[in-house]
Amino acid sequence: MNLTNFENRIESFLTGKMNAAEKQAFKHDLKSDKALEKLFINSALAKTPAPTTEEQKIRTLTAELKAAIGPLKEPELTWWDNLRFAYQEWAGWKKMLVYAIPALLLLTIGVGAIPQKIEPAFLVEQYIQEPYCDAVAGSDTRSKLSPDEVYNQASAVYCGFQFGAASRLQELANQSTFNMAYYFLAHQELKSHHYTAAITGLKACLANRQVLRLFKNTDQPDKLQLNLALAQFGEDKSNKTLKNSLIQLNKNPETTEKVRQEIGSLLRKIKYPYDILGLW
Amino acid sequence: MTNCDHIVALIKKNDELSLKEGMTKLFLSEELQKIGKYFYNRYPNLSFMSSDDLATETMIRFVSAIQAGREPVKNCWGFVRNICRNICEEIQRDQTKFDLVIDWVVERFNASDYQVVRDKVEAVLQKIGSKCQLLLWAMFFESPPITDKEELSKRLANAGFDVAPGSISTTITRCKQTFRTQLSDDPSSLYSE
Repeated sequence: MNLTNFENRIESFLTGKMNAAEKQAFKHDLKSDKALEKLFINSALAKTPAPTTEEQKIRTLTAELKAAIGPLKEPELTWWDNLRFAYQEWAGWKKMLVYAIPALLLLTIGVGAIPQKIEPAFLVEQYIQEPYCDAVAGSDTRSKLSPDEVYNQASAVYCGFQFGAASRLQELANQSTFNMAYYFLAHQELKSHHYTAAITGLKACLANRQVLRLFKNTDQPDKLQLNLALAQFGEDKSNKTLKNSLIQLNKNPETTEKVRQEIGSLLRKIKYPYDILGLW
Repeated sequence: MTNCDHIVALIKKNDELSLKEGMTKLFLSEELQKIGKYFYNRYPNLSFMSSDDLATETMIRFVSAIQAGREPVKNCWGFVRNICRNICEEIQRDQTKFDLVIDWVVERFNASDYQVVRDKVEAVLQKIGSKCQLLLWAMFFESPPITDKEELSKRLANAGFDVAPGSISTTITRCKQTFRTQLSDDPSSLYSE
């Protein structure tokens, strides 16, 4: 093996560039090859060259300086120091910040301008405010029903998940201008993703709250408003409209805490990825 | 922040007074101390020295570089930072290198056909002082070697040296350096001619 080869192998070994097999072979060769062994020891234990006269002079001056000044106060490193020392070797690190910050802002605006596509059906399933189910069972076959009976039957159809619930609720609703079947039908339509019908039904409920008030736990306008906002989103698929409706609803002092929590969760879900500037 | 370019200009003036002024400004600058501390924190194997030592070494190399005609074109503090990082890298490489040498020496020391290495190691250990002798012997040449810092600390205490377990690593690094210096004085005695 020639000298250059020896030196290369020693350098690779000492700088940790050898794999396990190469290391093993090198150690084996060290034992059997006296010339390699000698070169290895000499190169591994090579002394650092002695300082030049100039360097020695600087070292002496430094020692004098240190003795004259005494110990210095240890500096505190801030997060900014840590950041700049990590990149200081690059002369353009300040320029980088100057360009990077506006670029990031532009990117934020750009990404923020792209609406996030959310399926209305997904939001409806997650956020629909279910009507109060009074656990009424059974049905009435009489042709004309009192408001109480309509409520009982509509509630039983909706809450009992009866087959053909929508058409049965429609039948009940057709019996008068507004009755409680409208209420359950509107929710049924929303769940079935018939958004136009749901909007009509929910608006009718909000306009006839005096009727809802007659029945337990049904006059909850905040829940109806939230469902209406979801139905409108199903129809126009506009994140912006939904967001505005939710904000309005959140501002309403009558909105309950539970609905506010749902609004908060919904707003987070429909938020644009980088909507930090609130540009829309 | 101290003006680094002004320091460079002072050093380049080539008269002793300006050189002293430049070095004083550099030595007192918080930026140099911060650079030293930043890299000191990032290289755990520098525990044998202080961040102040590192900053001082950086200053010496910086001044030498400028006097030798190598100077920062722009980003003067970046140049200082790179010098400091290079020092840390050098120390790290050097320590890794010597760890490999120690491995080799220990292997030879324990092999029966390497009496020459055994004699040299024993002679060097005699020269490096009782504390280092005891520590290196226990860590590398005793069979089985002792690596538990508590145990090493106890042994040192029994011999009259008060070294806390937490300071064992620093002491070992210093001892290894002394050991290396002694071995380097006459490496030929580590192999048979």
